[in-house]
Amino acid sequence: MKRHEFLKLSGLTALASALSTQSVFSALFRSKPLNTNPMKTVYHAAESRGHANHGWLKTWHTFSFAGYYDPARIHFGTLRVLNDDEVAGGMGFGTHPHDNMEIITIPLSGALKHRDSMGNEGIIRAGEIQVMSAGTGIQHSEFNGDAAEACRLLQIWLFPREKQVRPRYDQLAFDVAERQDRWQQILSPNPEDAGVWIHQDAWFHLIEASAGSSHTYTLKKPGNGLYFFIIEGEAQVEQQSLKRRDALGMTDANGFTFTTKSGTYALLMEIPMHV
Amino acid sequence: MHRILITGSQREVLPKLRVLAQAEGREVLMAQDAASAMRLVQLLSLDVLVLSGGFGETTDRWLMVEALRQNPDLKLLRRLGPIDEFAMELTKALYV
Repeated sequence: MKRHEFLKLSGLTALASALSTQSVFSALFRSKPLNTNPMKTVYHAAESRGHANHGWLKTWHTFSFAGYYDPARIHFGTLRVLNDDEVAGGMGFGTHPHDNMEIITIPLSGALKHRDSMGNEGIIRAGEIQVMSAGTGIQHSEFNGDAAEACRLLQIWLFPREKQVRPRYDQLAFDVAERQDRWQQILSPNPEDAGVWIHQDAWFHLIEASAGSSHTYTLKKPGNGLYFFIIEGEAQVEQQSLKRRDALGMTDANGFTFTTKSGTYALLMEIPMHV
Repeated sequence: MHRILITGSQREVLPKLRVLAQAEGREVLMAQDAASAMRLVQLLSLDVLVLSGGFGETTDRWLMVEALRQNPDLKLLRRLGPIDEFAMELTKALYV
């Protein structure tokens, strides 16, 4: 007996036909929809950051820092500090200690002069990245390397994967052309990988996306979270619009895609969520 | 005594001390972690530094040295005993 004859005899033709249609399939599972997008997000608007104007220092804190304290904004996973600083010419932070923290500095404009207790001394500018593993303890100072022009920088602190490591310092220059419409890796956990490295399973990328472009990022390590910070321009991630200095934290995602309407400069931090 | 910084990691203690230190014309700042305290000490000249709870000997010493460097007339209060005793000490220092 052929299949259609069997179905006709057994009265199952209509059912077989129905089962082959997507509408019935959907109806059967309507009460329990397929969750194809479990990504959780947290939106941090630029204007929601803590701000302080100390004359020579104008600073915006994404997370609680110095005089800004919000119990709901202490950290995002291992990302503890994201400071957006503008330091007046010739001014800066005198020698101060750190320990057990991975500190990454990204100059946006101007020059930043660094000196530390390990004997390192140097000036970093836009296009360069500085990293410091404070470990067992380090003292350093940071000053604007120019007497007149203001210096703008992002300073980022991550909790380390392991404590009491030997302190280390590094800085690296990047070819900014390599971040035009593609992710440029500037930091990883691997000394042999592109960019600087730190004692944490984190990866940082910069991108300068042209207007009307779309870019996708896939996690390097499953379970990590993503923190997407718009340095300049604007972007769209799913339903969320992001403007200059806005940020979007994402968890339970294997990656994400953003689109642009204008030219956009952004920093993406992939970080462990468990401190 | 216009600007007072109270440092410490014990969240239930700091608000109590803040209330004690709060008075018209005074700016009372609180820092619950070492980095915040260090940043504030670097940025602002303090009149009173209140070390409550402490961040460890090295950090506390750094805070004291830096605050004194910025203001040699700094009044320094360091909590070593129970909160209630320290609250009395703070009250005396600020109001008597």
